[in-house]
Amino acid sequence: MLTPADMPPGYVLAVSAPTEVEIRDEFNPELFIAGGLDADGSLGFKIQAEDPNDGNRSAVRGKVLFDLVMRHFGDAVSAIRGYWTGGANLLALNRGITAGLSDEQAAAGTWTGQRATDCGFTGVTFQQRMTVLGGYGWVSVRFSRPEGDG
Amino acid sequence: MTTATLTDELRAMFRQGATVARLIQHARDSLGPETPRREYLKSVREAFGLGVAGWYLPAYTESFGNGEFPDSKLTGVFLGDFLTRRGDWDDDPDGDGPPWYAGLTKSTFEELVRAVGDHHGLSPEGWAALGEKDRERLTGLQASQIGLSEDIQLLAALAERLQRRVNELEQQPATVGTGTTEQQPT
Repeated sequence: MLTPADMPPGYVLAVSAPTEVEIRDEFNPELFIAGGLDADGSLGFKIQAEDPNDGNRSAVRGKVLFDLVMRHFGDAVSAIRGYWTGGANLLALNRGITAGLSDEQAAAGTWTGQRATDCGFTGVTFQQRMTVLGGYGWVSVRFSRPEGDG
Repeated sequence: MTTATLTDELRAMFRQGATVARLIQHARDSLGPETPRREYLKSVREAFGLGVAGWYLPAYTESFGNGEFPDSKLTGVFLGDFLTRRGDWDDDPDGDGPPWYAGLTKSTFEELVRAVGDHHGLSPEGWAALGEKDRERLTGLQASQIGLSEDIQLLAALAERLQRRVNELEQQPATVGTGTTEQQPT
C-alpha cells in the first residue's frame, strides 16, 4: 500500500485502505485519482486530470497517478474495468471502430486500454454496451491478463 | 443510524421513486455532513449490490447535486445497474406498496443478445452474406434497441410515479412556516 512518502510533489494521499485509494492535488480537490477494488480483484478508477471549472490541468501526468494506484493494490488486481459513458475513452473507442479496428483493438488503443496493456492486462472483454451507429453509446469493458498468465 | 437501517431506507425510497441523486443526498444527510463522500457513496452502492469498482464513475465527482443534468446522468447510468441486480437486494418488493418498476424488465446485454437470437429480420441469403463482425454489430444494434425500449418503459413508469406523488401533494393543504397548516384559498 502507498504511504504519504510515495506522493509526487503537490499531491496528498487522501485515502489509503486495502480496497480503496485516493490521491488528490494538495490545493485543488477537483484534480484527483481514486481507485477501488472489488472482491474479485477488479479495479475501477476515476481520474480527473483537468479541473472542469477552469480547465487547469494536473501538474502530474495521469499515467503517473494511474501507476501509483496500481502500485497501491499490487498483485491483488486481477482485472481493470472501464465504464465509459462519454469522454476521451469512449471517443477513442468509437474512432478506432470507425477506422476499421476490431472492438478489442479499439479498446486497447484508448487511454485506459494503453495503461492496462502497459500493466499486462491485454485481454479485452465487453460486458455491457449500447450499440449505436458509429460505435457505442456506452460500454462496460474489462481488461484482464491473458489466460494462463499469472 | 445503523447501516442496516439506512440500507432499508434507501431501498424503500428507491422503490417509491427516489432518484439516484436523491438517494445519495439522503445517505449524506443521514450520516452527517462531516462524513467523507466515499463513505456515503459506499452506503448507496452496497444497498443496491454494486461493487466499489463499478461505482468509481460520475457519482464520485463533486458534480452531482449541482443541477438537473448531472443528477439525471447519475440516474441514467445507475438505474439500470440497480434494476439488473434487483434479485440481490429487492427482498421486500411490496413492503410499502408495489414499486414503480413492478412488472417491468431491465435485461443485461447478454440477455438482450439472446433475445435477438435468430430474429435479425434479414433473409437467410442476406444474413449469410454478412461477415462475423457485421453479424455481431447488427445483433448488437438490435439488442441495444430492445434495451433502450426497456429504458423508456422504466423512465416512463418512474415519471408516472413521481407525477402521482405531485398530484397527492397538490391535494394537501398548503403549509406555511414550520408545523402550521392553513386552508388553501378557494
